Amino acid sequence: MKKKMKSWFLIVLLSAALILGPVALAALAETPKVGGKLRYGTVTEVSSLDPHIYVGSAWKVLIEGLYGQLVGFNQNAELVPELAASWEIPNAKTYIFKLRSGLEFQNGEPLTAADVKYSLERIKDPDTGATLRPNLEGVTITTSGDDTIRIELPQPDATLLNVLALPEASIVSKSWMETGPNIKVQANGTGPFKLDRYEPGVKAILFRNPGYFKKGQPYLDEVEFRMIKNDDARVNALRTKAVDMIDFVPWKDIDALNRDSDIIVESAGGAFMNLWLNATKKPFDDPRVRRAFAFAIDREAISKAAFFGHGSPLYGPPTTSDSPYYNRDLANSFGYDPQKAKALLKEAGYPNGFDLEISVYQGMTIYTTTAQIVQANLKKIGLKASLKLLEWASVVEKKNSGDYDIMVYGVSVKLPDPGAYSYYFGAESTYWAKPIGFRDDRLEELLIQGRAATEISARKQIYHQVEKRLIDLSPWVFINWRETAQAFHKKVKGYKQLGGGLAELSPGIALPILWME
Amino acid sequence: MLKFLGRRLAASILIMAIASTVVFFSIHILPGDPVLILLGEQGASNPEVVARIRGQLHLDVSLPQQFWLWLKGLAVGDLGKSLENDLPVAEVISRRIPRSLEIIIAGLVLAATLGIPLGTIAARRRRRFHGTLASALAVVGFSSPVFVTGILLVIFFSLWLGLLPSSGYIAFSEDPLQHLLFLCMPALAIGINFMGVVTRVSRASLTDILRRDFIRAARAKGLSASHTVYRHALPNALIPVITVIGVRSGNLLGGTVIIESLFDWPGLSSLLVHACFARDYPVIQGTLLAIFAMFILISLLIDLCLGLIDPRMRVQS
Repeated sequence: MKKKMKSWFLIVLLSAALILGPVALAALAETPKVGGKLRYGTVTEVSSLDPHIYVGSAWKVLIEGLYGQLVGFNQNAELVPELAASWEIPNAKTYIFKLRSGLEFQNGEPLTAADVKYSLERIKDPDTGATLRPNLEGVTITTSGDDTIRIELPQPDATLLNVLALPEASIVSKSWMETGPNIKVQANGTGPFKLDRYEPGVKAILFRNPGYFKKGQPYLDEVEFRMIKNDDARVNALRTKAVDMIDFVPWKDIDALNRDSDIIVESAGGAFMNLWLNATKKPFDDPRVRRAFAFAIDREAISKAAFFGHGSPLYGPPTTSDSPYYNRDLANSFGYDPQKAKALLKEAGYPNGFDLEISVYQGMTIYTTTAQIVQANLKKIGLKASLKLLEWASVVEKKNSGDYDIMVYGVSVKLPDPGAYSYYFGAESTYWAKPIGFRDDRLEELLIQGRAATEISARKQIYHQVEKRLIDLSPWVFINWRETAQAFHKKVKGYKQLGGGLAELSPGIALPILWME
Repeated sequence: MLKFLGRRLAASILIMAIASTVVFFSIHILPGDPVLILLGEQGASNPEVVARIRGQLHLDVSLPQQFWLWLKGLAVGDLGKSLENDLPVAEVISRRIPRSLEIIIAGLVLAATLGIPLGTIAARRRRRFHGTLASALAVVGFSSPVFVTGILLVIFFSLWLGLLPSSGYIAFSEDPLQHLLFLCMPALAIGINFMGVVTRVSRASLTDILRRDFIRAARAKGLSASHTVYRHALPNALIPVITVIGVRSGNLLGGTVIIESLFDWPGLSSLLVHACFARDYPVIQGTLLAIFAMFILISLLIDLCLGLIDPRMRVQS
């Protein structure tokens, strides 16, 4: 009897172990390990760490590591409190933020509402040349007590929270700034990591900030950023385990790295390629001509040839299908249809076509290959296009002076909100509509309505109309999504690649919770 | 000798002055605005902002005035500050120069120690197997572009054998062993390419010397073949080789762009390229000035070296 009991007990124990063992192991495997060093190879040669002037995608990651913002995003693409514990929006023109208590800068000084005011005013100051200055134009910032900030907008803007969540809206220390540091090579933020060493364009080494306000984070002790501009060198560094993770995986290498059992590639559409048609010039001022271009382009061919299949064609407006603002009925507005393109040209009065020049950045094959295919596509509808290859500085100059016919241009989604359309096409706060000489009163009206509306259902309706208008007028011919891919070894845990406006932010969002197995 | 040095120095200063003036004006004539590149699409959307930043960087005054400001700084040893990050250009450059010199010198030493013996073999065994093999190696060395050699080196040593890191840099003071491992492949890539040139020049030069009368006289006096070659022919044959090494190392100062990019080695060339694309004028000017200065220094050194090897040079000067 005793013996029987024993064996019975043993069976229970064994089966319990069998069932619970893997569960326990899995739980163990998913418990983040504290410590370790992440070596990250980035394409951007970050030449300045000024937290208010964007210089490239790796800059975003570094700044998110070093500094904090009032609000932020989590890996589910939700807006979450960061330095601000909470906020109120009494009306669409007023935002009130309440800071967390006990916040400290990395030099040990406390963070107060005065620092927030100072930081936002530094962004507004034309002497800074800050990236978000157009977004904060006309904004007034007042503080009450040490922990309350009130932001008054000149007109309602539902995108403000999204804007303040960007690394470009980092909070710097007022008193530290007054000591006159070179903020382009030094840092004193509230982020999860402190700057230990930095050689512009070469390397940055970050150590854990023990005073980080999120308890238990970051998991990593150290992050080393190696700026490896050369694509092959970056990929080889990952393959030979000289780095643990790389950004901007070259499109040609995505499939090959995916086949490597030790490497994970995560990608999402974060930027989109366009054809910009100069609306100040004839015949590009005619929407029919622009729509003809939209039908003439073989997006599938571009995706295959320029992006090795990793650039899904964009037959409608640039809204990702996981966005609540995605519109199925507009998503296939265009298709590859040279006959229709020809008909539109004829209708616009150009049955025999015309000559034009395609200006294109020469530094990346995704640009040059796209331009070559566009050139071939245009030939099919009777347009004779020549290619003009330009280096970056000349692209910027031509774009601003409007000295071009059409231009191949990539734009990264600037906000995880359709309010980004007013960046591209709005007359007031715009930097992109100007270069293409485009302005439409109806669109302008809709964009202002969209920014003023706070209810998502109302906003959906407005932005639906915005996108319809954009398709009808086609100031930009949308070509395809440009997948942004990160690749890392299996031992790197906790990364999630988000799409659209959060694509560039994803490594920065993940940084405090990344860990090494 | 002192008089010779003085003359050379005076000439050098004049050359530097002319070269930097040409550089200053030509880079400013190029299209492209550093402020627009610095601030990016959003930041530079407002003309007022652009104007203010231009003012801060002293880019709002006329070109001759900017040149005058730059010269004034130069007179007191101030090369200005980088437009991108306000770091003193002198500091940025002095950090990069040793790194560039390191891969160049390592490459040249490799090239000389392999190339001169190969050239000697090629010259002495002209129509035989060894000589042909040496010549063939030389052709392969200098005719394969560095980016091809570099990629082959990476595939072989890093991806296959896993012996050397594929790219990167760490300061010698931080980790000496790792530093030397990082140095191997860039030095090899430069060395292999340059070895070809050294082999060719020493072969041609030695072949020519070996036909001279004094060699025949030496042999007639009863000196052994190898003694004639190594004691009498080779020192004479090395004169053009040294000149080539000198000129070439000057070229390499700003010309290792591909090597530095492929092996992620942060030297002077990659700094110059980055500065050109960013239109960071002070950095471009400072880097080129440093390259000019080193070029002149190297040619001075070559003259001194030649003087040591060749007594005729000393007499002439």
